[in-house]
Amino acid sequence: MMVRRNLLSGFLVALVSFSLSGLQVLAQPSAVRVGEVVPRDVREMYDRGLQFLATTQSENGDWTEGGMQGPGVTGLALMSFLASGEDPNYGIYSNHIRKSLRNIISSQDAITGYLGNSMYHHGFGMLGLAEAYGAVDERSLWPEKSKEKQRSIGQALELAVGAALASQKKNSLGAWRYSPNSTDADTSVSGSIMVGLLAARNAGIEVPDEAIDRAITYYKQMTSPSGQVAYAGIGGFDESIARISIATLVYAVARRKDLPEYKATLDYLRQRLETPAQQWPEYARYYQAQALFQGELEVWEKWNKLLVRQLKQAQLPNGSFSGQFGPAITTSMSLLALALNYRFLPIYER
Amino acid sequence: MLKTTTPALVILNLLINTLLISCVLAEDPPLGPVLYFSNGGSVAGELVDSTDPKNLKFQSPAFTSPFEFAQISVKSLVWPAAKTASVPTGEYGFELAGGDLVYGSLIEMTDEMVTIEALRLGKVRFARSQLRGMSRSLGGSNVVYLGPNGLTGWREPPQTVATNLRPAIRIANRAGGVKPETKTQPTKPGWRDESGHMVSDVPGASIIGDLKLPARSIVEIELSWKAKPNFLLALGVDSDGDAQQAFRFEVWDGQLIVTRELDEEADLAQIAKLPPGPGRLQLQVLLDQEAGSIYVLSPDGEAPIKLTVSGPTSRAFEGIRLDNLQGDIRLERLRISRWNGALTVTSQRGQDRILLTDGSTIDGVSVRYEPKINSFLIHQGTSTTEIAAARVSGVTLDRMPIGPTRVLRVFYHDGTRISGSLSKVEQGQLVLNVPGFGGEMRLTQDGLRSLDFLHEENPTELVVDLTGTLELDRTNMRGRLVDGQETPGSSCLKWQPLGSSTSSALRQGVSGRVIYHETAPKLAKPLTTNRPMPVAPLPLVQRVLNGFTGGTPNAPPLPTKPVRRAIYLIDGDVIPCEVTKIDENGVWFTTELSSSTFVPHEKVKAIELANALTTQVQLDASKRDRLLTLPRMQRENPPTHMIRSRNGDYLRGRLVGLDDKTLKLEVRLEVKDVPRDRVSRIIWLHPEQLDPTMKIAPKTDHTQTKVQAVKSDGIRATFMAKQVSERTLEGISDVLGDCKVGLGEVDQILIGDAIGKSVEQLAYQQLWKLKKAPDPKTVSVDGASTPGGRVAGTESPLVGKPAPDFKLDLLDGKPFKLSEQKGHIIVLDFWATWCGPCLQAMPQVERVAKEFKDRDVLLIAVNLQESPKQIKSMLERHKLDPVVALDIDGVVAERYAANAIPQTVIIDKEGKITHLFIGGGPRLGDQLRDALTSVITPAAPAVP
Repeated sequence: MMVRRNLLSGFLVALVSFSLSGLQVLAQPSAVRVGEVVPRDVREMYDRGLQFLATTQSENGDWTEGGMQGPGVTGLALMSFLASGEDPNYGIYSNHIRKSLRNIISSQDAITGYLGNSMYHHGFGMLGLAEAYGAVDERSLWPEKSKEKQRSIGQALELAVGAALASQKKNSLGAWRYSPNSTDADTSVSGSIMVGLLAARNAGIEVPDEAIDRAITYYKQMTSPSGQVAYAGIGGFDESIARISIATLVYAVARRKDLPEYKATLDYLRQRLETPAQQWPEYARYYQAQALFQGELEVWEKWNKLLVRQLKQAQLPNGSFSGQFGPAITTSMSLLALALNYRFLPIYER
Repeated sequence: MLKTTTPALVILNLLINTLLISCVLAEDPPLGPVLYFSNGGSVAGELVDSTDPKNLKFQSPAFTSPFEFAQISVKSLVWPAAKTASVPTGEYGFELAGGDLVYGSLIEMTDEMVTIEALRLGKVRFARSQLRGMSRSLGGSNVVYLGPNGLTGWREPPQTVATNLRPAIRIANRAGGVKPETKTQPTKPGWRDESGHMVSDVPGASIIGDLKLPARSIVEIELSWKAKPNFLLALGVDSDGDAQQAFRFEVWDGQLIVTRELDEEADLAQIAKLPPGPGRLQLQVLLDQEAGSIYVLSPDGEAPIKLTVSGPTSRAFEGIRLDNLQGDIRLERLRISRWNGALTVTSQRGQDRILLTDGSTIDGVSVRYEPKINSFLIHQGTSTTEIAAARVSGVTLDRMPIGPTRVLRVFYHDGTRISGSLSKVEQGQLVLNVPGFGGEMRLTQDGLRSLDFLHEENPTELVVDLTGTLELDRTNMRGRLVDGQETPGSSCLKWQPLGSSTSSALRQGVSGRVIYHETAPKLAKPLTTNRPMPVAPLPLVQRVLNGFTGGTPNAPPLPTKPVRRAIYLIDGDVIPCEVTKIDENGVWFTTELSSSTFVPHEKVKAIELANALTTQVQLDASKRDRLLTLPRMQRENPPTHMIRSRNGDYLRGRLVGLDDKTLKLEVRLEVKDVPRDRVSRIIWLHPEQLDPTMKIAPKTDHTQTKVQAVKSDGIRATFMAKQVSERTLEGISDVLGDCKVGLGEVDQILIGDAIGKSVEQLAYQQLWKLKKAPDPKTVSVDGASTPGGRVAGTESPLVGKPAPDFKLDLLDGKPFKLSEQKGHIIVLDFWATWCGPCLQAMPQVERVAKEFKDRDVLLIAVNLQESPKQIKSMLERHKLDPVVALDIDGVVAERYAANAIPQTVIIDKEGKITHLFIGGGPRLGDQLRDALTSVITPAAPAVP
């Protein structure tokens, strides 16, 4: 439903905006270009956020002070450190990175490869491992004496991929839900697994095309011609910027930009750059940043300006961001939304 | 007609002989007294000890030190009403020379001297010639009401009662009072309690006191008002407030009259002129409802004004009613006592009289009181009659005591009045010289109601240059600012009131203003176009574009008053200047006023850059409202600025910067360049103020004195006042740095919190505030039936009501009138081309309507305020073909409360609304189908 007044004013602005793009008004050339310096305020915000994550990490390498915790949270925080561009092995956060990795690997079921709690954690944990794989020196990962019994990042990642594929096989929809044994699926949990799998594949771990294709088929079913993406089951479309972003990202990273569903979801996002997420804004921003970045750089640049402005206002004096799931995950997701400005993570490659 | 009684009439038990009408500013009474000046001003504060018999030393809490006012410049001091009713104690009320009245007991009365034990005064002995009479009748037990004590005992009547006042209102109307049809009973409380007074400024507000008014009573009333008096006071109303039989005081064309109407008789008498403007009225009336008589006592022994209206239908009632017909009215005092009805007529002078409790009187000479036998003695001829005190209700002595002119009268809440001259104030007590009492009397301020100075003439005031009026809370003083320096705790604003021999500095943290010239508020002047012109026929897009990009305006530029290039600050400052640039930090400028060149964004409200070129684009209130409404989808990215082109177009966005050539504005996340010479005005919207946590007013810094100088040309400067020297106010502004303002150049100086209040009224501050679009009413996402099991579409209060009729033109030019469609089921679909959900809903609505086409269902798509051209192109694009009605001015949408669209309304064949759906949604089609089915075949009644 829409309220007339909103629309009238929105309409007026749209009209004006349209008119401005014509004739003698010159559009501003893009301010941000690949390879340019990251704006100072982004760097400052990012550093303050990392400081918060660094100081609140537990001895075990996870984040336990309030809110959600588990391998997924640790994985996202790990990515925040990796995305900063600091040297993962010798830089100021190298210890935090190693602690995070040890924590994720230790939490993994050695037999099934499942990374704790829920498939969300599994997905984000797997993604963290994938992004670290190859970047973090395994030799200095574990203390000398414990090296024998511990898996390497690669082993853990391979094992995690296996767990995700096993779960998918059991699932008639070809996707994932909270429990690894679910027969049901949703586009939100599946997003975390899919991005994790695709990152693992990019990192060199074998992920069969068939598995990716099955999941893509699931996403296609869940995408309406308008670009909206349903949550669970089949059908039931509504405006969730997070899910539309997830689908866009999944299509893009799976190299399926040819799909009409991809065009529809990207168009939907493109037309609603200012639309705030109805809930869990940090979650929406995390995916929206990547989806727009993968989709169209210029659109992302526009949206990114808004993101920077909003996060600048939202950042607390201790560098954290607050959200429903606790400061660790909210801070990590907010930083990762910003991290597209750095483009260090392999998953951000276009 | 005017009735008066003969001069030979003398009122005996007359205790208060005044009908005082004084023009006194009726300010809200403070906790301490308010001192009223003869010149109309006032100041709240406290009396301070002083030994100077010519001056009053008075300390206002707003000032650091007391003023010394010449008594001649003071009219009165008024204390607030007592919280509890103050009832006089003592056996008798003694009426003394000069209109004084004291309560106490009689100890002795000889031919020469009287001795009494008086309340507050103790034992007092005075010459018999000072005594006019005494009366038991106002002893405590005879007072039935003394107040008001707030609204206790009073109530506002329900609406229906108002009509009972018709006769009175009718008369009032003839005489120029309010029109009956405009008199409406207020729904909110019409009366309030202000420090015990009953106050109303609600026109038509009525209040009734069930006060057990005796059939024969003495009623003392004090009323005051701030503007023109227009009230109705009815004595003797029934419990419903019906004033049909009452004695009514009314104001007709500035004349106070008393009137009574019975079925068989009516009469009225004029009492006094009540000039417009603030004033006060003190009335004492003797009321005999059974006899149908009222005596209104006149000043200083003049004959009372009498009105008698009686008849077989005459009855006595116990209530009093007061209506505020227009303006305001304040009931300050009301005392009702039983009256024994004794109103003796005598033609003989030189006689004393004893009134007996049985109502009879004994006349004679040389009344004395003998305490030993507790009896009064009166000589009649050669004999002396002895009367036991218990039988005596009053004594009146033959001589009208004449004393020297009194300078001052002291009133107490219990009715005690003592007059004399004030010799000093000592330890908070008033030391009074009362003629005839010999020596000084010490009076406490406890229970004081007022001090009234009885000057015969107003002092001639020496109005010096730069005289202004200082307005503070409960204070309004003429005077001037004298040289002063800021010191800890005190501001540099040193005020010397007219009539005061001293000046005193305002304390820091005080709020108020000094007015040199009252200027009319110039609301909204800079924001409306000067002359309305016919709206140009160019499309909006083209007009807006022209406005910002220099396209040829289609009308020649109109000569308009040159705009002042200036920065308007949030604090109200108006700084004439040239803006050199705007960057992310703020606005850079040059001004002749100061060497300052920068002001940060958070302080800026608007800048004026250039004249408007034309006045063809009009901005009315509803357009501005739209411009300032923040859509929900932009809440996280609100526009921060509004720019106005020289053609009058407005554009919202985020100002990125401005230099001498270009304004950069981010619109929809894209930065646009606009040539600077196309921009006439930039307004800062400050969306951060939408955050409720930002609304908390910043703490006032009470260690400094913030002032705002307001010049007649609209220039305002806010700064911290540091000193007044040689007719110049100096201080430091956080924007302009050092500030100097000549007192001769300013209209007003606003002080402290008063700045904020004044600034709120300024055009930019008042009119250009962003506001959030309302949140939608909760609509179930899938349009399923609502909680409580009601069928979808039946929740609206319009359902079940007759459909409002309307007549609109259709898109094809034919007229459509709803009431001519009886026999059809009408589906009204309110929509607009800009409404996405409407366009999603319309195919569903059209499809379902087509399904029911041969069952008399007719779909009318009511378009809201758009042009046929816009509509047609949209319908073509979406391949829709409904019958479209053109609600050009939105009136029909308003009648159907369609303030959120899409809204789909079903009207049955009888013209009744059966369903109303708001918001469309994917299931609208199904819901509509179900609804139409139920309308066509109404559900069969359930079989028991």
